[in-house]
Amino acid sequence: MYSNDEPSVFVCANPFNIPARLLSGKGRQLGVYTSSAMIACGWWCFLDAVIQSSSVVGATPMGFEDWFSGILTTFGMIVVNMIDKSRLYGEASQYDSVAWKARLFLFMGFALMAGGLAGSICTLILKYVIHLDSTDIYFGVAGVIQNSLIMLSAMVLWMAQSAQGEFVYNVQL
Amino acid sequence: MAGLKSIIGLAFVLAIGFLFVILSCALYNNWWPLLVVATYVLAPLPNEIFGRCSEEHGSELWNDDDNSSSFTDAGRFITGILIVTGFCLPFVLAHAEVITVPAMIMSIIGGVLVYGTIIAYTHFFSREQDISV
Repeated sequence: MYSNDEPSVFVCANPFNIPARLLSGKGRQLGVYTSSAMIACGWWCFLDAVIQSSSVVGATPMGFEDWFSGILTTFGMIVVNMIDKSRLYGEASQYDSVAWKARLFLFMGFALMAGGLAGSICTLILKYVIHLDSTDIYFGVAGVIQNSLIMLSAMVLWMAQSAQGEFVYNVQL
Repeated sequence: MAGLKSIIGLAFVLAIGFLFVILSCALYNNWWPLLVVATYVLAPLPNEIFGRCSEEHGSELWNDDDNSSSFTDAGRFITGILIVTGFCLPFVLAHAEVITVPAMIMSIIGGVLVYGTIIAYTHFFSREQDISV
């Protein structure tokens, strides 16, 4: 891992570092705002579908099975982003129980998010694509959009919060 | 006293913003778009509260070098959600045909004006405080 202030023989030391340096001041702020915008867009997309399904006559009603995957993904996002990042990078010595726990919870959070996304795709296929109710496929697609936006939002928030000094960390992850 | 003109200008912008929102409600006799104002008025609050919270905890413990802590991040996160809600709410209402499309446009413009006024005013005010301190 090379630090930024190490002298380089080239004029332009690392071209991939330039955007990182430009963003270094406001990067974290921008990332947090972006991630909050993404999660709000995702949930509003889903809520729009729910409102449509109850207000349009003859549309397929949306029940708990549609809500469930979104709730799972949001819960996974909360779990992932509540973990103290510095615990994770603690060296993996044999009985380091804190890092072990942190990694376990990280795994659970990512599993929740992936499960939510998979669940929404499952709902889309099983409930909407198979029955082919022409316009109602939007309700399933909205669920998939919602879950992928929440996942993206979790990743952007993660990157923004771990982007302290070195951009190398989040590229690794 | 250069600030006096901008205060008056901001007050006018705020009034025009409210005019838009109230027109979008009253023209169609449908008061749902007023919710937009509520979200925009609430939007700066988390940022302020959490920012104050991180200030009080002292700099070395919670704040990093670029003056961001998890508290300020949480505040920004909730603020961002509220701002996007202010945009999305009229869209969803119009899509569900609760309000008409012109009402949606007017309420969005009005909401942006109101929120811009609040942001500009806090920016201005905090700069004044910096000078006095």
